[in-house]
Amino acid sequence: MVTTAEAIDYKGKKVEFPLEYAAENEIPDEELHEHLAKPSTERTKRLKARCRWKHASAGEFVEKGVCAGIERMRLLTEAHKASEGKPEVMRRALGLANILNKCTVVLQDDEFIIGYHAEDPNMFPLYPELAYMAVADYLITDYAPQPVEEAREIMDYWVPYSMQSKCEHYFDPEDLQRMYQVSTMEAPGFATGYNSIVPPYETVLEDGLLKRIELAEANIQMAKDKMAEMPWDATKGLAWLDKIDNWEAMILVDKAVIAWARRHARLCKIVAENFETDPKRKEELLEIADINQRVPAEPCKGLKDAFQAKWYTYLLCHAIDRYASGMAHKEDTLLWPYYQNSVIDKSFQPMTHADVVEMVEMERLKVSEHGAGKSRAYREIFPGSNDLFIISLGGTLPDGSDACNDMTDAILEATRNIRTTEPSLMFRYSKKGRSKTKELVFGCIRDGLGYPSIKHDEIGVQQMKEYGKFSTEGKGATDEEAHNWVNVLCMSPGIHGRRKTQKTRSEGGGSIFPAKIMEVTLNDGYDWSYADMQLGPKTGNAEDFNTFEKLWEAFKVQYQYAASLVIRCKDTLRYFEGKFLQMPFVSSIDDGCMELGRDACELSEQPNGWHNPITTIVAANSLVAIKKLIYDEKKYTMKQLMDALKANWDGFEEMRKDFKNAPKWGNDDEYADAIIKDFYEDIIGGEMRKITNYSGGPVLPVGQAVGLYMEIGSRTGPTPDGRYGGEAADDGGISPYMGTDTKGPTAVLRSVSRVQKNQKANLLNQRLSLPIMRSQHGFNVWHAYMDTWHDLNIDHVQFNVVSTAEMKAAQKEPEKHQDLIVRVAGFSARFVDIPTYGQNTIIARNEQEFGAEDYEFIDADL
Amino acid sequence: MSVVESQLHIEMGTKKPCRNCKWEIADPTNPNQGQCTVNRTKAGSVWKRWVRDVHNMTCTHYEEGELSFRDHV
Amino acid sequence: MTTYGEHKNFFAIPEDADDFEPGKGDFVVQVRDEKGTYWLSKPVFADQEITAEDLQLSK
Repeated sequence: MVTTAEAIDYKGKKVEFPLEYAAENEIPDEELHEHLAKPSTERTKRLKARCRWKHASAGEFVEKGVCAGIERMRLLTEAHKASEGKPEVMRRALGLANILNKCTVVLQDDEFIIGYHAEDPNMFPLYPELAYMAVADYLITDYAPQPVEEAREIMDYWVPYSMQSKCEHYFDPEDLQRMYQVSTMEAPGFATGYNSIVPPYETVLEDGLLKRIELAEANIQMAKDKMAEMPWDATKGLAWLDKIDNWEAMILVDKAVIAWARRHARLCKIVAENFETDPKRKEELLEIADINQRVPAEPCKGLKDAFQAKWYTYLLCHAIDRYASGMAHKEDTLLWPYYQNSVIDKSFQPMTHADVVEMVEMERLKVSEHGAGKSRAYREIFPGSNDLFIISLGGTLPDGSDACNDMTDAILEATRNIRTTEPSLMFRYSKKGRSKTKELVFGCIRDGLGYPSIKHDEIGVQQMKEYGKFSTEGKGATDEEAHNWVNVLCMSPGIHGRRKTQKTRSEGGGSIFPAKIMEVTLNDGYDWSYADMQLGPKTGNAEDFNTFEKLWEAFKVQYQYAASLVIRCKDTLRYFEGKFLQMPFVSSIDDGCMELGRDACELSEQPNGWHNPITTIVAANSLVAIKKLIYDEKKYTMKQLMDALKANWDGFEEMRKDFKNAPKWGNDDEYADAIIKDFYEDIIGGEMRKITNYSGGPVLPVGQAVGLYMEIGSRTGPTPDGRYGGEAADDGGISPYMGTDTKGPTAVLRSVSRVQKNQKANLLNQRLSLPIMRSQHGFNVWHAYMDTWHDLNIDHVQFNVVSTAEMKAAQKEPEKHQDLIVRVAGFSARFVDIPTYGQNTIIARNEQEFGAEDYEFIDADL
Repeated sequence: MSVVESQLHIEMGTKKPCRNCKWEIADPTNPNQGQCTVNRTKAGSVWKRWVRDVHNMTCTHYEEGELSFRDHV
Repeated sequence: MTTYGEHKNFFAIPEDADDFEPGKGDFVVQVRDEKGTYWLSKPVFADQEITAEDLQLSK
């Protein structure tokens, strides 16, 4: 049976923890999660059973038969060759149009939301115009595009035109070599092709593309009229030329998108009228044909329209025009008007709430089989998942009222029913949020999905306002618009809506890794343990740091070098994106780009300067141990420490114990927390804040660890926190190191709440006691914990609620545990698709038990 | 930890290049470079080494074959 | 030698469609694999020689 929590004495009474669901008394701990999926209909049950998962792990695709397609790269290249001499933005438009006009369109049995981004649902596209190395890597794999010689020719053709070649020219090859190996710094976007975006879905659903075409046509006419004014003024008049090019490109691609969607409509009709034998499916196909004939050309009128138009926009923005990770949108707010039409008013596409739940389940399965042609680095760092798909829910509306609605609930119900690793959810936690919805949030967490992750609603609003002040266009988010924020990827907030969204990756990515930076700081900038080369400036050897302050300053120099270099890379890419990688479709659906005649990559109205320090706590705990044992207590010398590290602690076991047992982050320990607070605020955030990026704002840390904590751990030698070489690093931006937060869940919150300056976007991973969460008190405990977390002004938290027994059983018999999902970092993963190395890091996380003092601190009502 | 005695070294034109070795996986960015995963710590962690040139580097731990994703990172 | 236009899976594009061109059609095939079945449609021209791959797919 599922283990129950022991009774405790609390506020003068004995409190017992019986399971919320009595039937679980019959289920062994080792198989609990295989009993939790409950697809709401036979259709979604079938769709899940045949889902074409595209999980990657250790850089490889887990399922056989998944491979890269050649169609997109072939059609893009054909258009590029044919468009020489035309304005660059028009070449981009012609490229996308050629893909949409000539690509294969896909319709799978049983689907209601249709559309795919490659020539076969087992495939995914590649992007030779971005990073030639990423394509070259695919060519040496079993899932290379076929015919591989043609793919190689295409890659070779693009080398001089690629973002990688354009950007590399402006960097020292030594710096690039340091970045490409991903140990102190992540490789730049121009070498990986990695990207993210917040598509302005709202304009597609509310206006339809025919309206956007009309707007662009009117703008062109207006521009021509202005240019014809006499007397001619070149200082103003010439600016219209680029704008006209942009508007013409928008018109061209929007027409191509409409025609592409209507090709899908035609396919449904052909299948219905010529092949389909089931009368019910035949009728449904004709309904789908009708929807796809109307949207995204016309405004959406009902919920079915909205799901379909949203899906097409998603495919275009995240996969066809360009690869972009994320699924950033506020799905409940976006779909609420259509929910009202279809479910409440029943004025168009009438349906029940249960029908909506099925639609959401179907959408989640579409996302689950979406394949991303991402580079090897990114196939390595989301092990057990497909890509970073993160939908935002909840929070507050522009007038400050609760944004939760019945669409929020439908999304949460479907999510819990269908149990997929993606898309992940983020819930904006406000005390105004209704309890009914929070219970559904808790239901997903308690069932071990690892999401929704929780972000502090008011902090997000404040962050949007703060960044808005730095807008170089003078058009940052207003106080009302600041409520319209979503997670762009795992952690970083950005605006959603009709304009001011982030169109390209000016946040996250290009991470820097304090654990490895700490290692090279002790060695004069040299990396002895992985690459055997100089990785940073020469700042002296550890033995020469006769004060703690000298070590602190040396680290600061190494950190600033890494931070400045990676952000210079990002901004250089942004510069070239605006010149050669324009996105006229995205421009066409953004009100700012449409009004100003500017390209989406080039225009930045709302700055978004988040950037990733990951593995911070290994460095921070190392500093604490060094300060205590070497500089304060003088128990060891730096020379002894360096000898021990070079030996990977071999022969220095007692010494290692001392360093391992030195105070650690997450235990409400004043000594450790004082040093680590300064480390976060003065170096991690303080040094970063000195940098100004493309969008004119300061750069701030967003610790969204993804699987990089494993990769960096395996590339980092032993560290002074007592860690052995090769062991994983810490798994979140501000999470305690696995297994070292031993003073209970509220001690963790007290430590984390001490960091308040220069950053508020650090990932906090917590593993909560499964017996407590599955008990009848589960929701009350979690709710009280969340309100305390909110009052402590912490930005983020997310949870694993999964037993060690079940994870160990899954390691032994993976085939029996396909539905076991765990939270890794900013994403959830199928446990059995994670390498053993990573699985062990989840098991090693401390399962937080609540004691009476914890219940008192959160004032739980038991 | 079990230290590998024979270190990675350049051997131009080697018939046992890291590229073909079961302990090597490609570099995260540049496919002409790689990562060696043969070193395992006592706790079972993979302590990687960077391979500067997968076509012309080798060591005595060379083995042909393929490692399951479960044994990587 | 067979052309797409002669094949039963060729469907001429209606004249009122956005992508209408004389002789242009959709070539539609059904594919079955271990996961399930799906339909593929790609634009072709009636007088274009059908590829061996498409001929195989359309069986």
